[in-house]
Amino acid sequence: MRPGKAMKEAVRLIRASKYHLSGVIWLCVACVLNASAESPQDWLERMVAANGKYNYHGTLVHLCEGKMDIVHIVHRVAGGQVTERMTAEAAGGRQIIRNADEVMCILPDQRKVTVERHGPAASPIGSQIANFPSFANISLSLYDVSMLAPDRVAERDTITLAIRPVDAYRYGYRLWLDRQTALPLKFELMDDKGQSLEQGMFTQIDFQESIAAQEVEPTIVTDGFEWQTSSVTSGENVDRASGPASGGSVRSRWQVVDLPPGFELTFAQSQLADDTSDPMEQLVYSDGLATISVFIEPNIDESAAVEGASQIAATNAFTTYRDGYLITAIGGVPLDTARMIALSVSAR
Amino acid sequence: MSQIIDEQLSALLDGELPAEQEALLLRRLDKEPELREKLARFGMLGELLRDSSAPLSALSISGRVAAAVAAEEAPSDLAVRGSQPASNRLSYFGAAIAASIAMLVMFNLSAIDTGIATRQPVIAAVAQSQFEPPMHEHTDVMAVGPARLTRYLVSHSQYTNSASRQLFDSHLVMAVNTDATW
Repeated sequence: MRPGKAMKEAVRLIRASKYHLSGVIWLCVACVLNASAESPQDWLERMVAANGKYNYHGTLVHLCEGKMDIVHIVHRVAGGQVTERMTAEAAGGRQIIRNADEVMCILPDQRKVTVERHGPAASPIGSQIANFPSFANISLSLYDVSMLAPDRVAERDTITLAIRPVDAYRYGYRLWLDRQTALPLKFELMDDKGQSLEQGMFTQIDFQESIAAQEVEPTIVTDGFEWQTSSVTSGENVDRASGPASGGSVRSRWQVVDLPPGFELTFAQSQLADDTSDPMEQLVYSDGLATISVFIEPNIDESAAVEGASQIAATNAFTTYRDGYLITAIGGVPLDTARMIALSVSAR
Repeated sequence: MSQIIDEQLSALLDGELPAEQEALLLRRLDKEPELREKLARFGMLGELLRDSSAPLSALSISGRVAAAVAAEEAPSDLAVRGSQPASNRLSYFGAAIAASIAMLVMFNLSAIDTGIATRQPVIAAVAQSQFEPPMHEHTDVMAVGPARLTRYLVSHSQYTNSASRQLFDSHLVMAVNTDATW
């Protein structure tokens, strides 16, 4: 029973009852049932919606492969727009500022700034920077979702979900969601055997009614820094049910022939860096939760080509070279999945 | 003193360290790599002790830290906690650290190359072969130049789910990538 329905039903019972006491009892029972009846799917939907609801400052600890890093996050929601600033404790306080229009990375230790501009029109996600793909789109034929025992994170009560992949083509998650807001306070990436690969956890989170715009602006003076910018020149959002939103077939001349089960093309775009004249193509494939991007760069000299794997934490990439094009598949997926996709890219 | 720090690390991982102490500890963690490694070790060792069939209470980080502290003091205690001998667990633990060192080496080597690497078989992990396998399979390799890889990461991160995006962003600002991604 949905929260609203449960409450209305209880109120109706109270009104109908000759004895208010019994009505109050019914109300209590309904509330208890309501609290315990939320399914894992309900929680995932609440979690996705929470991203666009709450303002907060938080400290996130990232653990992977014996390394720990601390970042500070300011998450601002205003006028339906989400802006997030992440600042590292180490590395001279590197910052990432992300909103619907662009992603800016500032590296004071290297005196560099990179900006990727996509704009709401080209973006498949518009103002909802964290809602695509989302846990609300999870396919129960590809993942098993279950609820574990409650826990506490950052001095707050949490419910715990386990999302286990049914095969080795994708990773799963354990999520600790704040019981009050449904925001993920701890998240853990795991392989198909349940082995933890990487985790992030808020050690402190402070919810606020509002956050000033200045608090998500860069705090680093970038005078004299080297700037690298790139812009999305065209993009097509692919509607799974009816094909590309723009109508007709996707314009990309590339396709992946051998896709893992459940993965489909969800987005295609061209991107032009300010220091190159040839646009790079990006094809995004998703199973609803996991995503993998295929980057195709033209005019790469064969003498400078490469084939092989790259890895940062649990993110895997596989690169190959074909007829002057450098093809890389990258995502938070196992290496075998990235390799399978990269090696099956072909011209239409 | 060490015990106090261990307790504070435990409380930090559980998110139950008072705010004032947390601020102090985070500052120490920022300045003392040994302390960061210790905290990470607790987490890593805790993962080794994890049994997927165990009740959730067994997965609590306090438990993991306590176990890790106990393991540091009396390694033989580990043998009774899981199915594998303590020596194997500790070698896995060492391998995980070795894999991290290998990754750091690879990142630093990659920083020299800001373009595309020459066509060649991918470089094998440096230190990993000298140890037992780590907890999960790693390639610890960088076929693509750091600048290009970072550009891919930034572009791809727009299309990841919310939890993955925060992990991606953490990669981009992480200290381990100081010389690697740009």
